[in-house]
Amino acid sequence: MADDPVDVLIIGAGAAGAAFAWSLAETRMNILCLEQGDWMNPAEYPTAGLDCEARGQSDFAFSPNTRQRPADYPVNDAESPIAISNFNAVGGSTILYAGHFPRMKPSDFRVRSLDGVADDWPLDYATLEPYWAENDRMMGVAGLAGDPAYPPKEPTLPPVPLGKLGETVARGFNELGWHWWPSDSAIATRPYGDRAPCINLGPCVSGCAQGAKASTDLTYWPAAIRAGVRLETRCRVREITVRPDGLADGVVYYDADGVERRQRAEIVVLACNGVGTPRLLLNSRSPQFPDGLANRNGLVGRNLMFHPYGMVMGIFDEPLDGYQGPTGCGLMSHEFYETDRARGFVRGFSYELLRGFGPVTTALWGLASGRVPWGPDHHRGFGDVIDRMAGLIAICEDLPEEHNRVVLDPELRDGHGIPAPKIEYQLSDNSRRMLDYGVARAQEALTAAGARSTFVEAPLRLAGWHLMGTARMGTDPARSVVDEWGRSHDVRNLFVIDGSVFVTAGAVNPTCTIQGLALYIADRIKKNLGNLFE
Amino acid sequence: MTGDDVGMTETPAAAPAIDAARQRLLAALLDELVPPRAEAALPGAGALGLADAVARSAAENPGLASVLAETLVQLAALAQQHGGTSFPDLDPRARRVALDALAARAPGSLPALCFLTYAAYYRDPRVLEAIGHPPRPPYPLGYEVPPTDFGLLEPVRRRAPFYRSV
Repeated sequence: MADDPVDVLIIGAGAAGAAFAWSLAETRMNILCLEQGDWMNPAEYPTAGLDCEARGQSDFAFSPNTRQRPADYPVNDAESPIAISNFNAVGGSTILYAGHFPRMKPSDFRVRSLDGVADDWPLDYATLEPYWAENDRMMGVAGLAGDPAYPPKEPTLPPVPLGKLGETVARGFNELGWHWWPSDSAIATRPYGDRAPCINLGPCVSGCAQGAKASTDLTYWPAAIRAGVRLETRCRVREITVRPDGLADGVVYYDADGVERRQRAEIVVLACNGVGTPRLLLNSRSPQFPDGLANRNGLVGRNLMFHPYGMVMGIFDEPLDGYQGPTGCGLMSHEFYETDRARGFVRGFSYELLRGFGPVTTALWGLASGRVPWGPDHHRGFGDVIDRMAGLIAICEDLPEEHNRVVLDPELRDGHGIPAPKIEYQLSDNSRRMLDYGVARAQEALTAAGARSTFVEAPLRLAGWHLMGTARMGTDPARSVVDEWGRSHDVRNLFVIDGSVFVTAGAVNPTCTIQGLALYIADRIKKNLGNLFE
Repeated sequence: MTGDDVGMTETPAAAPAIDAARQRLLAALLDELVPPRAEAALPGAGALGLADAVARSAAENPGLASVLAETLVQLAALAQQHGGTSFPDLDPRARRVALDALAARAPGSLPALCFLTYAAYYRDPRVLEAIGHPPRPPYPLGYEVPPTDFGLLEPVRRRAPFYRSV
């Protein structure tokens, strides 16, 4: 590839980069995206083989440290109670995500005003509403209108069926008088565009061989490429470079052959997720930015937020057919979403239904928990739990704390010798109390649904999917990294469009809001092309 | 027998991952970890022929490969110590004594081998059929999930909107 300058250079082809590229394509600008991973071949996804569950522990593991694909970079998360989960490919982590697709709520953007904690966002629910709707149309979102937990919204597809397992758990919620609703799911429940309908394969979290799940390699990228965007794969960016006047002028990267290259650009856009983006900024040191690019206030990498997960599995007497149907998409509950200080914490959590496990996962879970021992009692123990488990995940809202952060590891390097990220994170007392409360209520719900016993893991370690806050947006340059439309306060032609810009985390899976924000930022750029750098 | 003796041998893909003596020892061990299931007429994991698959899985991970190698060495020694013969030739009671001694001496070894054994056993079509699961990959046929009666939502639909307005 020649080093001809491009108008817009996007780094990262995941959820945000894809949506942004598609939206900006209509400007006819010269747009290039560099992605460190490659295109995936759905025919090679694990569900096409009998070893599908085992591959979820190896080449399709959630952790890049376990997976160790050529596209992966290591993450030192050894001292964090929550480990990083991601995927590096065209489509990014949407390749492995569950597809759970709820929006944030009006109160999520006003936590300082309402609850006196963290900060308000510089935009609100109403601002994002049209971008969520456009994103739903592009991704194809299944759900059901009429949820009293939300302002009115219209899903594009019918909901994912609950199955025997989901209906059983729903009855438990009804018994307690608690809210539940069919999940908003980025899953085609009917043929949608070029996508085939869901056939209930089970583990969406190891890639959808059917192509029903909305990963952005199937949704946005084909449309963006048809519209003229160029996407170069297996290109790992090492650093963003700057001109003497402090504006970004391009990147240095390693191409698919490992050759160091330079790419110049008028606008640089970061879409590498809440760990990859601060890593790249911190690796981009220069005389103008000795502590890393866009980091004059020292906030790059700080305020890392996860969603601490509390997992409760209930064991039932009857088979539940839980291996059939999307793993993480069934029903959600927002009964405990909003602040009630009588609970002992501020903000709240949502529940997401977790369908049961397949035989291998059941056996390995039973091995770890002592319920499926080796020896004479093995078959009794296995028979006691196989196809009899249903779970609830409490997705807790983490609050931003500056000491929770992404830094560069002093020793760890990726395959190109680029310093790797290290996670410094502690669970706050508020999050701990919220987890405990969420776990206790989940046990009540599962018991009401008929579970004879429950099993708890909280926080769930391998659940660091939602990476937020490490380049937060705001109007005050002293307290935020980017402004209200993703533009760096320090570098006027540098934008961040991934989960890094989140001011607070909400208590729902963030992908639909990440993409809504990416579309919103692209729209703001389109409307301000004439005075973009002022 | 030494640790080097029971190391993974580098062989072409079609050849066994470990030699015949270790295959026999490993198969006997697998039969103890996952024993026969009489009511389903299923033999144990060893008699099902999973020793080679377990050894191959172990070979993909240096840590697990060394655990397997060391476990087989120790088990062979314990069988001689407690029964004066090889582990496969011990009676069931003596096998259990040897395994209990192994578990006491190297507590992490049997859970590590169970991890490999369970993963191989519960993806075998014969086992899947016996436990009532379709003996095939999920894709391409998938599964039929009946449509949901969302009449279940009636109590929730009756609630007034309860999101917090701002």
